[in-house]
Amino acid sequence: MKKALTCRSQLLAFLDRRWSIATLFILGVTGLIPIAANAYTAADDRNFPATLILPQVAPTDALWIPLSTQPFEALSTGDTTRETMFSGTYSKLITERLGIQLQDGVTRLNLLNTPSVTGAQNFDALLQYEAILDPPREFLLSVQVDHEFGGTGDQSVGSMKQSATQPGITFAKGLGDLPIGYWRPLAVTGFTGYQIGQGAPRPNMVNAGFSVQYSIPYLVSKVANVDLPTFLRGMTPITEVMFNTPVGPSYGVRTMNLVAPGITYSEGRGWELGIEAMIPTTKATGSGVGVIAQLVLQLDYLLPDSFVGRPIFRPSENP
Amino acid sequence: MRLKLEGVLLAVLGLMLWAGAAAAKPVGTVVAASGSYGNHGRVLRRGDAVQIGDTVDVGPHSNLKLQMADGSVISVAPDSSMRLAKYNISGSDRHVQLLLIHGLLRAQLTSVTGHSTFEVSTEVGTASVASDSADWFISAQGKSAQVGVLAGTVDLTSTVTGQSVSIPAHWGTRLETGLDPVQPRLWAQKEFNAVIRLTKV
Repeated sequence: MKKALTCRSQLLAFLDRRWSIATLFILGVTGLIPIAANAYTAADDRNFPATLILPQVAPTDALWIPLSTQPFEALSTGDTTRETMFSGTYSKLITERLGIQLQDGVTRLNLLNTPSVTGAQNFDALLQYEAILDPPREFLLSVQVDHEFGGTGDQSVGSMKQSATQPGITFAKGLGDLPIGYWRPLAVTGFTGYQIGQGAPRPNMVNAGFSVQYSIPYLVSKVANVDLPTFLRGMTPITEVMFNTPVGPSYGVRTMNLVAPGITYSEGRGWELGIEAMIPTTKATGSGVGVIAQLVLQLDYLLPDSFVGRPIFRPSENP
Repeated sequence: MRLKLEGVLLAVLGLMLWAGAAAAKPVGTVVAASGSYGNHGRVLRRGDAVQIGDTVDVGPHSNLKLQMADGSVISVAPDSSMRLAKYNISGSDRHVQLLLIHGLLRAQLTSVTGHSTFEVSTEVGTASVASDSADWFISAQGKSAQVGVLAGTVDLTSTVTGQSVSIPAHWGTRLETGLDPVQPRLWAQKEFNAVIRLTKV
């Protein structure tokens, strides 16, 4: 059971954390890459909806509240039959292109023939910098470094005692600049990171994933006047795929794959809802179809003139 | 019978004269200008009044700033044309309709105590202020319009689809002909600075 829990906690740690290039690298890149036009989960007229499994593609002022549940195959007393997680991520822009995310949450484990346990997840902090924004090509790339503070959560629910640091890269590309007609609303986002565990039994991990999405808001505002009901005009069908594998000593942690098809919905009015099925493709990931739902509050839209809605340091109005 | 007809004709004439006088009432004044600009071919000068029905044309490399009767300021960028379709200030109410034929303008609206509507129409859609006061930009270029909001809230509605979006402070969006407005996004200060520069006299 402990091994299974370790595997799951690695997955959950990834799901919770969403991830992360070391500060020096960020500073180096900052100096090398031309200044982007702006920082947000948008490139020109392409809005990239918030992902539910993968890290967000760029820093922003927002609040994410995901809730997920995943069944597991329990073979003996005390094995986990279901894992339910609730967390919150507060994302704050420091400058227009540099942001920080703070995250914590709780996990509940239902156990076979044993009372369930509930406990805190490890606290996590992420620094993310949007290094490239190319609006005409609907492309952006961010670099990030994530740190999970080991021992700040309850080990009974899989929160590890050892900390972990993960540098990573996210990118997003819309296909709206290509002459492909009704395929122009398509977009892909991706992430890759290398998680460095600080001591046994926490292995180093390679975490990677991508999403494919078809934006109906983009279709009706950039491609064609398609007669659709109002509620459909805000939908973006999306499929996320995530992959995690240990590198070096695994300490019993196995490779995990997850496929998550679903939809996100946004009317462009400061909030966004998403729901996805979580389909594990390895036993370590789970044994049945789970569900994840997420509410996103765009604080920069809802409270545009407040501290939570604006970057701490922003350029002056000086044309 | 003849007297009755003459009476009706006089009443109609009176009404026409009254309506003409109302339409000719100045609703704003040129407070700053540079380059070439005019009103129906008449060259405007600083201090000149503008009236309902006027079409203000601003040439390339030129700028114009109007101080309106309610205290609001409208700045028109180079190579722009704007028509004052309606600018009614009655008591504490304000009802404004501008037509941006092409180009870019900045509208800095003061708040009024009464009811207020402030709309700018373009070929592809209409932007209307949804807050008491606002500081915002609208551009009309060919078959698209773009709105950026520095302060307040502005709604942008597509003429063809009727769909609209609400744009808060620091956000902006675009509307292309025959389509829904693009969902708004946060604008960088650099983007605002570009339009501030264009509308600065």
